[in-house]
Amino acid sequence: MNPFFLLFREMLGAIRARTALYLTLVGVSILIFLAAMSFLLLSTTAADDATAYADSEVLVILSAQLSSSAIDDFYLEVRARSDVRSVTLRFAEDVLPGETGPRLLINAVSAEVLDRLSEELLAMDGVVRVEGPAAEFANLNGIPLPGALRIGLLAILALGLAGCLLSARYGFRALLRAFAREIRLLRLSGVSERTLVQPIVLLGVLLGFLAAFLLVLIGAVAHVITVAGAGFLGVVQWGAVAQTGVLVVVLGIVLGGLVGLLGAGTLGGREFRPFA
Amino acid sequence: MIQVSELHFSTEDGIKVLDDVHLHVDQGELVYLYGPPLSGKTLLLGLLSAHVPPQQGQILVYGRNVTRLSRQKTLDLQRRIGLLPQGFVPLPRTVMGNLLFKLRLLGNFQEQAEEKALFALETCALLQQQGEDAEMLSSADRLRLGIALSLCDDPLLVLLDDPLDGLESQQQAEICQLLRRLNTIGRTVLVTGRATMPTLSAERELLLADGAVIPA
Repeated sequence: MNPFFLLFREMLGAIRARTALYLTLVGVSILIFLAAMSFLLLSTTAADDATAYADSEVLVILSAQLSSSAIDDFYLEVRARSDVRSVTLRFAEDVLPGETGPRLLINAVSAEVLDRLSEELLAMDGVVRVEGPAAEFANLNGIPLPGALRIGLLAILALGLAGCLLSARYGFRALLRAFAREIRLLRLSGVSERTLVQPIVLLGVLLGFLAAFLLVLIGAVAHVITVAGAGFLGVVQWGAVAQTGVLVVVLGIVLGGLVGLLGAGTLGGREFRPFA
Repeated sequence: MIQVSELHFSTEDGIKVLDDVHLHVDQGELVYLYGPPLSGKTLLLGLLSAHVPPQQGQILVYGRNVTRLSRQKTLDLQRRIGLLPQGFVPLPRTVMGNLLFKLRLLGNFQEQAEEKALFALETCALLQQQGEDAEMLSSADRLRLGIALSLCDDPLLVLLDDPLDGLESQQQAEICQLLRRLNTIGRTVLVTGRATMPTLSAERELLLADGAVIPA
């Protein structure tokens, strides 16, 4: 086994109940920090919510492969329906930046016919999906957050960071104290500081990654449950969820690495020096 | 092997611990350096093993000037010196586990590490106890383990800081015999202590007092 992994394994072996508690707190703090961060990333400002839809509206997403004449035919066919009051052709970029394909915003004669209309529209050629109710679709760009909640999230963000730093300080110190004899022996034997620091940073990275992965998992499950329960795509597009998930994992790894570096700073203490 | 000249060292409070120390140890020698507590023996070993940066003077070990070594070369030098610190406490592993921990982390492969560990244990008469919990060993056996740890990666120079302190005379005699054996298999050994140690039969006994090394 590589000395690096060997040292990492030995270091993990020195984890006792108290250390494990502190390190779990590090993970939880990172998770809280990332959760607040991801809500802020996914949220929209009040200006984003300016587009409002009526209860009787439904959005039809057409295939991007459709020719302009096919779109025209589709448009005319839908407009001719008796349960449709009006049809507006919109481009994807107007609704969701980064997406392509034509979309038809259809205003039904009443909210009662909306379900049946949606089913029939979905059965038509060239329709990728039908989204509604329109009122919820209006927030596809993100989760609308009032200013107070935003401030609350920022406070949680700061608290998460502070909790993370504090628990990391105690957690890594407890871990390294339990491993102090080994560290002194290795220093006496001419092992480099880098060799000693790397496993500690790796532990931080792992904690950050696990916290981020858990958060992404929770987020994805919550999203799926929301979609299944409401019968529509949810308040946020899958693309945005995935993008935020990747960002959260990267942030988790970086934050974990920084926490590990902070923990490795403990190695400078007298108790770890063979000639203090 | 070791050439120290005009070595001075003062504490942060300005107290002179080493004052114009001159020391010469030839390859293959067994040297015993003794002196009262706080006379600077441990500090001198720290300086010789490049764990304590020197303030003034010249230290040559293996012909290398310790004061001018790069970080990497300092580590290389430290790997070639077997150092047993004062009041050695073994790791919470088996006797063999202690040796394998060090050897494996110094980059030895498992088989190579086991081979070196067995040789060190045999030299220190600890083969029988290789599977025992190191923390449960007697004080003399703990010391043997410490010596085995210091010599397991084939150093040419072995520095032992006050190893005989707290041992009974019989145990001291056994450890002295072990140190002489190390010397006969080609190791240069520098041992420190608090009082003269005739049982060691060192080639030279030196006294460190008032910051200077003088022949006893």
